[in-house]
Amino acid sequence: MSRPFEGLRVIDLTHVLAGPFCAYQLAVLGAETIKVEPPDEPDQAREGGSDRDLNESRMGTLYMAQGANKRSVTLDLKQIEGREVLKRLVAGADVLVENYRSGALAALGLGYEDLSALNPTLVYCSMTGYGQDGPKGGHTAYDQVIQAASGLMSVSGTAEVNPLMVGAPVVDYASGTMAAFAIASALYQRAQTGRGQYIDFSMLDTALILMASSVTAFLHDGTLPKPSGNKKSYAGNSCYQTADGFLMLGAFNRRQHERLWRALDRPDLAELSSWDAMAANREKLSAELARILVTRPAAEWEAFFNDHAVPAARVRSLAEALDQGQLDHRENLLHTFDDAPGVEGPMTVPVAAFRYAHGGPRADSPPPAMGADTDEVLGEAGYGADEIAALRGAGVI
Amino acid sequence: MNDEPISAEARPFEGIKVVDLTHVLAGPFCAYQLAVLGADVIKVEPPDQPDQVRKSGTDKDLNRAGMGTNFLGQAANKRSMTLDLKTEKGREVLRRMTAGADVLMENYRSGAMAGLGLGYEDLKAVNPSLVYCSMTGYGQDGPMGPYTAYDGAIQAASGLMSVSGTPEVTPLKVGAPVVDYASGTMAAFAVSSALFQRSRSGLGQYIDCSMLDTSLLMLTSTVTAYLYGGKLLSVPRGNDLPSANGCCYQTRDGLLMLAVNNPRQHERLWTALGHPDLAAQSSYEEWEGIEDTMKAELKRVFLTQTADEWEEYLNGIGVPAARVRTLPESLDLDQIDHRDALFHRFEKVPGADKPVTVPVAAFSYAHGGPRVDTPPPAMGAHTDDVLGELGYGVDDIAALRRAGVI
Repeated sequence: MSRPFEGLRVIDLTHVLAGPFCAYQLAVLGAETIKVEPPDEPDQAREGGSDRDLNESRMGTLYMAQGANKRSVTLDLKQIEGREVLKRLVAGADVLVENYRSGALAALGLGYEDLSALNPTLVYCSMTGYGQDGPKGGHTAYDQVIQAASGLMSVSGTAEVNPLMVGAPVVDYASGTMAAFAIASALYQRAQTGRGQYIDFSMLDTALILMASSVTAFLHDGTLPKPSGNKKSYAGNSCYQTADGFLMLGAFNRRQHERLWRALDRPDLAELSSWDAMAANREKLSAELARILVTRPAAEWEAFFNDHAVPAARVRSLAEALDQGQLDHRENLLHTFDDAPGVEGPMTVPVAAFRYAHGGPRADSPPPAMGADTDEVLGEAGYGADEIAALRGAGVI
Repeated sequence: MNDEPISAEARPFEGIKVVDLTHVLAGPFCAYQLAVLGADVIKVEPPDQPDQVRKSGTDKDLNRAGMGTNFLGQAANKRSMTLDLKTEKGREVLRRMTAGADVLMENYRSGAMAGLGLGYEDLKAVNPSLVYCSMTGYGQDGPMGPYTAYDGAIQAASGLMSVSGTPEVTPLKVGAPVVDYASGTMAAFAVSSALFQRSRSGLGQYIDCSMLDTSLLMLTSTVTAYLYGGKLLSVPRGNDLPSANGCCYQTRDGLLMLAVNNPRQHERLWTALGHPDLAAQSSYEEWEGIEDTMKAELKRVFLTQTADEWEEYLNGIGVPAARVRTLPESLDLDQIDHRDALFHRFEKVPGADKPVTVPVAAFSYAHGGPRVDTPPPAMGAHTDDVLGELGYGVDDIAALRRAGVI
């Protein structure tokens, strides 16, 4: 069974995290994704990550995490010969995704208008921090800048420790996911209309949408979420100390509230199940839960509550999270490469957060070394061995 | 599939019918993203059990009216109908709806729909080209498959909380339900990709989406580094990031987030600050030797001006930086006015006594892009319309209502 994007070609002019993650999600669904990097300026993610040796060999873990299933080509777009190569690749492509500063590619004659003239059915996606125009349209941004600018830091933390960055670049990965959705939808649109598309994608917009409920509430009545740490609006969906760690409860609705207190043999408290009663009795219910939950380990409580259909999870370290037996049942989530180039020992990377009944996401080939596929891709585009040698001699590839 | 001709200006999913059996945040957000791209999304709720977010949000009157802000934020462009799937008559209505639908989305506990005879195998028999998407906390099977979960539980179970906070205050939940919205986005990607796949293969699809998986994908760089060398890239260290060039600093009037991430940005920053010696040490290896010097200098210099002044100055010279804003300040950015598809303001929403502004999409298209057409519907507002379209007569509808099926 073929995957959704088999037979489609994606030209990936992105770097760092959000853009390459977007292209990666298309690649695991079968797209032939050609990652293009300037010969003298590797994607900085190749030199970032936890392992110094990998960074030095330009196979840093930041890159490896989202480099599988891609082909790698070097190309200097600042030289006219490089731009000619790109145009030839674009003529046979379905998608181009880029995350340079807004206007940068247009200035090189590689903007949407330029390339749609060559290929009217091209889906061209520009990813930037703030969008293509407006006062901040030209500003470069990274995850932490958008966390700061969007207000996500301001709603995180506790009353004492605030504003606070989220500890992982979630805005980058959410942005990559959102852009992948925008592209997949444009491809479907193209299948109906035959027209190409230009997508102006913004990370700031994505961060605001990750706060959709807070944004809607604030714009309606001015109410702002307080950075309240792990203490939430109801006792039933807060975090508690157990005999050996924390437990996050998620008894959100009336039925879950009732099941929780019946399971704890407290029918009197189970009756306080309307939203108003849960709010009015927050402190009382919370004190009672704190007293009870500290008596047993978190793992026991997790099993106990879930058996009673009350959502609850032990607060796990990342090591513990990756060690849960549940992950063995998620066959698309992680893939281990035993022989990735430049890497000693196995390398395990995330793949996809969903599975299909047929033709679903899959990792096929390991993250390529920089330029590993340049000759092959140029050959497919009709360049002869002499021409490729000449381009290499001129530093174009 | 709809046989009407497709206009060149049509949005991607115009003519696509989505039966939306989801509730709370992640599922309805997924359906919402399909709706703003043109899909006819029919939100189905049990008559006696409204989606719980209808009653949650910051405005008590709206909660009472079943139009809470948590619901309003992701309900535009949908139609609403009531249907009791615990009755055979209700299931019969759903099967009839499914026969003419393209997508069905649900986020009930795994196995619940199959238990009612409405699982993928059952409905595929009714409509072989159906894209059926199940969203759960942990996936359809495995030891945690049957567990119900919300954003908080998944932040806990995935380790996201463990990498957030400060050395003193950790683990810590992210202050907004970002895993819910990221999960909705991921599911929307999975569904749109499956629709594209169907346009080529003619085959329907079953999608098993997991919020735990999504949360781990939001930790992609951390997960990969940890599984390779056992090192944690992300540890709870608050805003005090290890690199002087990418850290948060106090200014004369608030915090500034600096994100110098490559040698060129490093050169521009330190040249501008009058330190050609530091500017010259621009490789990642060289940064390590001068971290303390840089941090001390940045701490000193940023105190001399306001965060806004620094933000404007630094971005003007090609150095990424932003003032750490509150949500109101962020929403007040002039930049927002240039994002056509980001927000839509409804002057009148049933149940609300003032205008309601809702987020729409994080991207715009050159043509046929995301758009809001109709306000969030009151519960069951379109039940009669939808049943009428399915061929139910006025008497049939009245009988279903009397029996409590709708």
